[in-house]
Amino acid sequence: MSKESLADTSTSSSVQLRNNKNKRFFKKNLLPYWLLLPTISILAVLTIFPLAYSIYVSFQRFNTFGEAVGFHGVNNYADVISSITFWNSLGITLLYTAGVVAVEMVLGLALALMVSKENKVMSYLRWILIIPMMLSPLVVGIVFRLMLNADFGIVNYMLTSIGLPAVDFLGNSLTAFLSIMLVDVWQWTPMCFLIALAGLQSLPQDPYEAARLDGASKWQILRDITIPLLKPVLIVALVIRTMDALRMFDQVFVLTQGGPGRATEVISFLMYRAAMRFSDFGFATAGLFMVLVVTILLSLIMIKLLNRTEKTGGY
Amino acid sequence: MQVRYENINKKFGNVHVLKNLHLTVNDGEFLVLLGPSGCGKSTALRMLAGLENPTSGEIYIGGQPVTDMDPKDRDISMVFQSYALYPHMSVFENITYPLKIRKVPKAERKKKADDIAEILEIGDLLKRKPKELSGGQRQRVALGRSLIRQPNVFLMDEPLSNLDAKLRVHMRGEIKRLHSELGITSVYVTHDQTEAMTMADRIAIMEGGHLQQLASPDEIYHQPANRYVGGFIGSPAMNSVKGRLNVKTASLDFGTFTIPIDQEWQEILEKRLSGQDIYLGIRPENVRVATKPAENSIKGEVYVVEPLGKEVITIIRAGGHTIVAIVEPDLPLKMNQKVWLTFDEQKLHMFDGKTEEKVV
Repeated sequence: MSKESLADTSTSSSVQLRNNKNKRFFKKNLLPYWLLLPTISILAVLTIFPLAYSIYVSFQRFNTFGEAVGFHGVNNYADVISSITFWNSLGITLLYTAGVVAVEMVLGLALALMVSKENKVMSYLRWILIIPMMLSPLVVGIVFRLMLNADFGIVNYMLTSIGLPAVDFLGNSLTAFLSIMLVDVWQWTPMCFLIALAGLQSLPQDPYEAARLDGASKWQILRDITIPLLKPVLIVALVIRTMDALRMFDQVFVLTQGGPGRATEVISFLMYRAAMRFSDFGFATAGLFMVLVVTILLSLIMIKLLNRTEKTGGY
Repeated sequence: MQVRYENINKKFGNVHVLKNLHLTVNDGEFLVLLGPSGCGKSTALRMLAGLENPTSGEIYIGGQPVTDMDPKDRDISMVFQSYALYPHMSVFENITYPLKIRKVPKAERKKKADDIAEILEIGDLLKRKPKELSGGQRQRVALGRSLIRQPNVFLMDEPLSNLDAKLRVHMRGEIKRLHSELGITSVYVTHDQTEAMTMADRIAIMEGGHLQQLASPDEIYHQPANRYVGGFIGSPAMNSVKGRLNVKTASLDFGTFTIPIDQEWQEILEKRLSGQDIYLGIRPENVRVATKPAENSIKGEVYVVEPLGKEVITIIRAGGHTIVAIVEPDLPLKMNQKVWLTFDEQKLHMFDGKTEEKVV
C-alpha cells in the first residue's frame, strides 16, 4: 500500500469517527430540548401567540363592527400619540401608580417592622394583614362601592353620625381618584408587607446588636442598618407593584367606569373602552404596547438600581 | 471601670443558665470567662452588654446599676464571634459608625479612623466592603470599631474562634498588647484554655451556670479549687484517681495499689476525711516514669506513646487506672512495655470524694 492510500484510509476513518461522535453528541444534547418541548408548546399557545397576534392587530385597521379591514401601518400608534385622551390617561395612570406604590411601600414596611417580632399575637396579626391580598379585586371593588355609596354607604353613615357632612366619594373628581387609590392601597399593601417581612426576618441579627452597642437609637438603626440591608428586597417589591399598578383595571371598572368625566380613566380602562365600546382594536392594542414600553423602561431603571445595591452591599 | 455582677440569675424558660453569679472585674483588668459550650459565659457577657436581661440580680458598671439601662447608654463596646460588621458599609464607615452616631465632626472621624487603622494595620482596606475582606481582616475591623471611642468596658465574645491557628496566636498577642496600652477594663469570653491562660489577668472558670473559680492563671493551674477546674485546665488533662485514705499505714489506697503520703498531707486528710473517698489529682508532667522499679513505685504498662518532639505523652495502664504522663523524648518507651510510676509528692492535689472540692 502506498503512503497516500494509507493517509486516505486514516483520514476517511477519522471523518467517520467524527460523524459518529457528532451523532452521539446531538442525540445526547437534544434530550433537554425534547424535555422542554411541552412547556415551550404551552408557552407558545398561551403567551407567544397572543403577544404576536396583538402586535399584528396593532397594525390593522378595524371597522365599527370590529372587523379587520386592512393594514394600517403605524397609523394606530400615531393616533395614540396624537390623542389627548391617551396623554390624559397616561398622566392619571402615572400619578396613580406613583401615589399607591409610595403609600403601599411605606405602609408595608411600617407594618412589617411592627409585626416582625416573634410571638403569638404577632403571628395572628400577620395572617389577618394578608387577607385583603387573597380576595378577588372585583369583590373588593364591589364591597368598596357599597361602602362608599353617597346615599346608603357605611362611610357616609359614620361621617354623618359624628356630625360631618356626607361626601359623594365617587361623584367628585378628586375623591373618586383618591377612592380608587384607597382601594388599591387596602388590597395591595399586604403584598409589600409580606415581601418586607420576609426580608426583615432573613436579615442577620448581629449587626443590630452591634449597632445597639455602638450607641444607635431605634431610628438610627432603621435608617442606617435596616433600610440599607432591606434595599434589594424593597426594590423587588417596588418593581412588582409598579408593574401591577400601571396595568390597574378592576377598581376603575367596578367603582367609577373612568368617571366622573375622565378623572379616573387609567390607560387600561381607556383602551378597554376603545376596544369593547368602539371596536377600535388597533388603537387599543397600540396604546397598550405604548404602556408596555413605559413599564419596561421603568422596570429597567429599577432593576439597574437593584443590581447596583447588590454589587455594593449585602452579604 | 469596675464591673460587678451581684447575685445574677438567668433562666431561658425552664433552663437555668446562670446561678447566683457574683463576680467583680477590677478597673483596667483583663478578665477571661472560660468554660465549655453552654456554661453561661456568653450569657453573662451579653447581660453586661445589655443584650440580655437577667432574671434576677443586679449588674454595676463603675458603681452605677445598669441592669435596666439600654445597651447604647452603657458606653460599652463589643467584638462579636461573627464580627457583626455592617455589610453595606465600607471599612471606614464601619469603624467610624460609633463616632457618626455621636455626631463627631467628619475631619475628626477621619483622623481617628486613620490612627486606629494604623495600629491594626488595615490602612489600605478602608474603602473595601466587609465581604471583600479575609477573616483576620474582618476581625481587625471589628476590633477597630470597638476601640475607636475608648469605651468604659470592652467586651469580646470568642473573637478568635473563626481564625486559623497561626492568625489566632498572632491576634492573641495583639489584643494583649492593645489592652496593656489602652488599659480599658476588658471581659473576654472563650472556651480555649490557651487563650485564657496567655491573655488573662484573672480567669473566671464557669460550668453548668456556676462560677467554679476566679483566680490568676497561675493559681488556677497550680491550685485548682475543685476537680472540675483541675481537669479543665491543662493539656493533657490532670490525672484523677479515686481512692481511700488508710490512716494506719499512712497511705492512699487505690485498690490495686497504694501510695504513701507525707506527714503534712496525713494531718490534713486525717482531720477531714479519714475513711472517706478522695480523688487524687496529679498533672501529667508530675508523673515520673522509670523502666526499673523503685521505692513506692506503681507498676504499669505502656498503652500508647505519643511523641510531640520536645516531649512524649505516654498513656499508661496501672492497676485498672489510666494515667497520662509526660516524659522526656530520650526515654525509650514502647507499647506494652512494663514501667514504674512515681508521683511528685509536692504536686499532689486532693479533692473530696463527694463534693469534689479541694481538700485544704
